[in-house]
Amino acid sequence: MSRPEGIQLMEGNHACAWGAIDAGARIFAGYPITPSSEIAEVCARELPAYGGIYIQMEDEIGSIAAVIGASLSGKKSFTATSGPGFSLMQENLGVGIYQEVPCVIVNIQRVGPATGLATKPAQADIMQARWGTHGDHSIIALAPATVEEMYYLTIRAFNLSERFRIPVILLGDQVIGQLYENIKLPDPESLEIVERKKPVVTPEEFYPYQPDENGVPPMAAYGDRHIVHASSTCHDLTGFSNFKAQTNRALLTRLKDKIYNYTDEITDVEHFGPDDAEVTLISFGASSRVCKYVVGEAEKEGIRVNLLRLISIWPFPDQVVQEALGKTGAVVVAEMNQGQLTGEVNRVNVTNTPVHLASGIDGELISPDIIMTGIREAVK
Amino acid sequence: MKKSWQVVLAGEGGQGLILAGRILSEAAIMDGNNVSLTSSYGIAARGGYSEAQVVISEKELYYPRCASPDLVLALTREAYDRYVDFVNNNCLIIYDSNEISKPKGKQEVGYDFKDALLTLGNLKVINSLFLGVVLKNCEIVSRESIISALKKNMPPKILDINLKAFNYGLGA
Amino acid sequence: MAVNLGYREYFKSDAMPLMWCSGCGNGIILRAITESLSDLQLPPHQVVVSTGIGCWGKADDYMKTHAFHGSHGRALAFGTGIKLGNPDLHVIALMGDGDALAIGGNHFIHAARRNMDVTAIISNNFNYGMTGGQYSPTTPLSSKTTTSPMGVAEPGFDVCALSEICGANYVARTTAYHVTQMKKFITAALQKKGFSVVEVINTCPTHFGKRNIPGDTASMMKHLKDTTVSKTRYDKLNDEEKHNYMVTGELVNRQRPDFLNVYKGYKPGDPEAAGGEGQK
Repeated sequence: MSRPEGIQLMEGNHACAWGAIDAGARIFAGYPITPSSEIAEVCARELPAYGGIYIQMEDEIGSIAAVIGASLSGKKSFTATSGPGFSLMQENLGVGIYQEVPCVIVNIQRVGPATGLATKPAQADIMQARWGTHGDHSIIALAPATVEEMYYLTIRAFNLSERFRIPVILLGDQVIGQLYENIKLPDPESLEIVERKKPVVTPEEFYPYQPDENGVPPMAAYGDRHIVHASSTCHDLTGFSNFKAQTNRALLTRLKDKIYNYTDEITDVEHFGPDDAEVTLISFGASSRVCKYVVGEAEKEGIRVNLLRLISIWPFPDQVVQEALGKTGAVVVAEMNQGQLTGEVNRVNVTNTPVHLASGIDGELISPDIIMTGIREAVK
Repeated sequence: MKKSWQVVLAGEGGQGLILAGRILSEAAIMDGNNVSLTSSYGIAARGGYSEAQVVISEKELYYPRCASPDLVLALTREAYDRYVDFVNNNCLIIYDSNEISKPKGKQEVGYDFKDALLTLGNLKVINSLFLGVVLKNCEIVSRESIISALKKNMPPKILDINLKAFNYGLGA
Repeated sequence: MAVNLGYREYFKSDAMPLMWCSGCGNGIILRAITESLSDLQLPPHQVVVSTGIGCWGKADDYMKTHAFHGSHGRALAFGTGIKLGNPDLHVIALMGDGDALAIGGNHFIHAARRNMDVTAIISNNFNYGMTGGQYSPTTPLSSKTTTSPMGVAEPGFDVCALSEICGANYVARTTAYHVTQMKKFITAALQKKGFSVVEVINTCPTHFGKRNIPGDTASMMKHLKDTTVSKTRYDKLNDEEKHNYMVTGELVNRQRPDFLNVYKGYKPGDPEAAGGEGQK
């Protein structure tokens, strides 16, 4: 096999793997789990031809550890998993965030908790993606809704991770991961690919955690003459342990600010349907596709509905959601969980707009009926 | 040719339903359409209920599942029972007449797949056969495209017998 | 290279004093590692130490090479990635007994099976020192620790036997007392292609030693000398005597091809290989 040319029927997971390869990923370390395994399979088959390496680790703890290690050695690296594996990755996700290691973690969500309704779709790892690892931290998470977005958002995930030196989570779901659609991969030359900023100072002047004007430290790789000390312990700009209160405060503040000060740059949303609507749907991923369908169905019933689709989930686009809440009569949040995104919408609901939840927890793609019921309730 | 199609191919594992869904989807793409293909099957590697759903449209596709199927192929009793009350009256059901003896009398066509396979002398070509039967009843995709898609997906060794099965189903 | 790299090119002497208890052998191991690196004249930027959590997991604080200090038990998993990302690097995983063999046991056996070209240097003090002296997976049966006040009810791992059976290319055991031997083994391990393990039996005068070995710090060191024998001598002992001794020495030295060697030997892109696109 080689890179598919022309218009193809392609699975979402395959598109994700090609996105990673085109973004420059050269190391995949993972552990097989449905419904994400096709990403591993494509990488195992394709990476060697790109000079890359596929390694199947002993578990997901080891997988994300190897990904972090390989990235520190200068290679773009990633892994793919689903709920149970994502749970195991939480420990070292924190290490990656704290040491500011660019990498991508693909989570093709399935029903949980535990083994759950293996391996049916859900979108119930929203909060785990945000707060799964212990301690204060920031994270970036993107939610693809089409096979094409599995490709392009994987590339964006790498770009953001390199730009901000942070692990980025591609929060897919079983529907999109294993959906086949027509896609035409672009010429890789036409893509905008971000590479991590390297230090411009001499090795003697170099401190591995000296931030630039954006709060992001330029990054040397293991093997460079610029010596890197990456630590999971509280550290100052030398990278060495430092237990002073002000060091801890400064580090946690910078790690937050380097993401939250750039929320506007990271935020990606789609507005769909009429500008003025009685009801605004807020959704993401697979659910948002059903919302688009429902916008048309509601129109047939004489209800004007539009959709705010969140393409980036974390950092949460507070301002965009607030604006949407202020411009509509009511909001229906459509999600395949028991209201994780709804909680965030309510958090920013300063206009006290009525917010309803359309919750699909049947282990299948949320049905149009569930969302229509939510809309009818909202206009009552 | 109809502008959009929602097609359900349902039966059990081992009948090549998902590969057939893929061939149908690729043919639809060759005809210039947008396609979404979803499949569902049990956790067992073999057997059990299995289906592929193909949605074909010239427009952008939102809902990737068949909300209102235009055609259901039901190769087992279970597949038939799942859909017979769900579909609307415009939907055509093609069923295996060995599996369903008393159809409920909607728009339905029975086909003796067993007999056809015995005539063809190969039980493994059922997916190419039913693709022919489907195409005979509904012009979902062009015959040229589906033959190209069959050629793309079938290993050379078994291509001829599959093309023969497809043409047999088509009644050609 | 014209410049001679002394051990202080690897050892961060301005971080002194060491955080370890007096009488602990970790400082001795650290000195041996830095001297081995100096003997081999490995440029510090081509060396990465990967540490876990625990007393020995603090060793990176004293290293001037590249360093990675991660989570408890994962030094080898991180080290595997570091090696894959840049196969020219010398990756040294520094782990304690609990770090390497309890929480990190899975990574350990698989790194050995995979024969990753990484050197593991295990400081085995038979207990969890940093958390207050609880029993570990190498604590000998019936030993007293803070969580086995009546004696531990589980036998301990033989680290070297485990390494051997899992596939390591180089396995050696020494003690904090045997400084010259220790340096020799570490130097050999660093040069070995494939997974190499040096187990250093260490004292823990604060916890394990205090509860299980009579006498002061010096007598604990002497205990290391008195209770270890070479493999040749060990094999001549009767079963009862064997119970009181541990074998030191080079126990495994073989040439199985390492992971990257095997992996890079395969030809990429065979389309007929399993799992073509859409064959689900």
